[in-house]
Amino acid sequence: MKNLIKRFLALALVACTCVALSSCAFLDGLLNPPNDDDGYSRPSSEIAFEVRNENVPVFSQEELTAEPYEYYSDLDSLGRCGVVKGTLGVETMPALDEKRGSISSVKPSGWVQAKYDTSIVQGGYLWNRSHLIGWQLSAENANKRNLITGTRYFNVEGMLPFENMVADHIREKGCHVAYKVTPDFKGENLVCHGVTMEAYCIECQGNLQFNVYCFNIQPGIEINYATGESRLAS
Amino acid sequence: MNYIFCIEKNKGLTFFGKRQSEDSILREWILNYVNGAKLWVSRYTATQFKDTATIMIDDDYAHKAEEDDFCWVEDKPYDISLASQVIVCNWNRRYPADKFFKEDLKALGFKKIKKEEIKGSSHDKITIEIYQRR
Repeated sequence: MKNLIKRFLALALVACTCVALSSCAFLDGLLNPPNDDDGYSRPSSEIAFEVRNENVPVFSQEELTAEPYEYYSDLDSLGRCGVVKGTLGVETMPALDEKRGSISSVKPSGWVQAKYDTSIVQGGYLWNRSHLIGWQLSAENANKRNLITGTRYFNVEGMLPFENMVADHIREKGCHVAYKVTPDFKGENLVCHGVTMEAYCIECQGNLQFNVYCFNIQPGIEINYATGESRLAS
Repeated sequence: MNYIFCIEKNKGLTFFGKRQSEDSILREWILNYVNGAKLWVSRYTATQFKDTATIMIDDDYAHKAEEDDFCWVEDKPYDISLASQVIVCNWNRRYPADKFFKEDLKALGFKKIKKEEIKGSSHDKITIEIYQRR
């Protein structure tokens, strides 16, 4: 009888352990969606950007200067860009007749170029060398401290409309805009998940301002942010 | 009533309650086009004008404008069914947007009667299309 009870208790212990382990696996599945199992992330939506902090940028008093300047962080030990900022105005923008220089010599962190059908990626190539401060605002060409690996979608649908808005505002009003772009690298990933873009017009006192997060995604493509490798979404 | 809209390439009208862009030469064009008729604008739109003597400023312009008046729509609602003419000014640029001009003017019975391109003060090419209700 005692042996029977012992066997029953042992079986119960094994059963409880199995349930506990499966619960952990279930919990783990919830916390880490399956699309991350092999390092690839599927774009969860096709939203190019979202507004942060009610669209109010966060600048220190020191950063809110009408005196034009540009600051580019040094690359970190993994060769990744950091925050870039400045006060932008006609002084920092390219001259009317200035032509864009080549940037093809720069290989930003996570640069693993891939070509897809143009029905999925406009132009075919997934990765763009994305300026943190756009050329039209800074006239910066092959500055490795200003170029990240960004998808075509991120570049064109995410960042570009905001850069256009700032550039045209400066051209129209002759104002100066406090501007900051912060890439969002998770852990030791070589490709950022997105960037925070913040802007505030000094002279207009915020008549032009924004605080948005642009997602570094490409609809239809799964991205391994640790390495920069990519593949068609399954 | 005649409506005026300024939109970007994806038909975006405003972002977070604010205009996406402005252009002093386009403002002049609009004042010339209105040609002395009443131009109604909201208090927000009025901030574009240094001289407000020639414009009617009222956030409730949609209910106050009369048949031959013009309303420049930015941040306030409008009723396209009241429009006899719609003037669409396209910046030919991509800007961020969360409010769009979604009207299918052709389906609503409008016909394009004029298209004009102007060089703005800060925009290389602004395309202005004028639609008249058939």
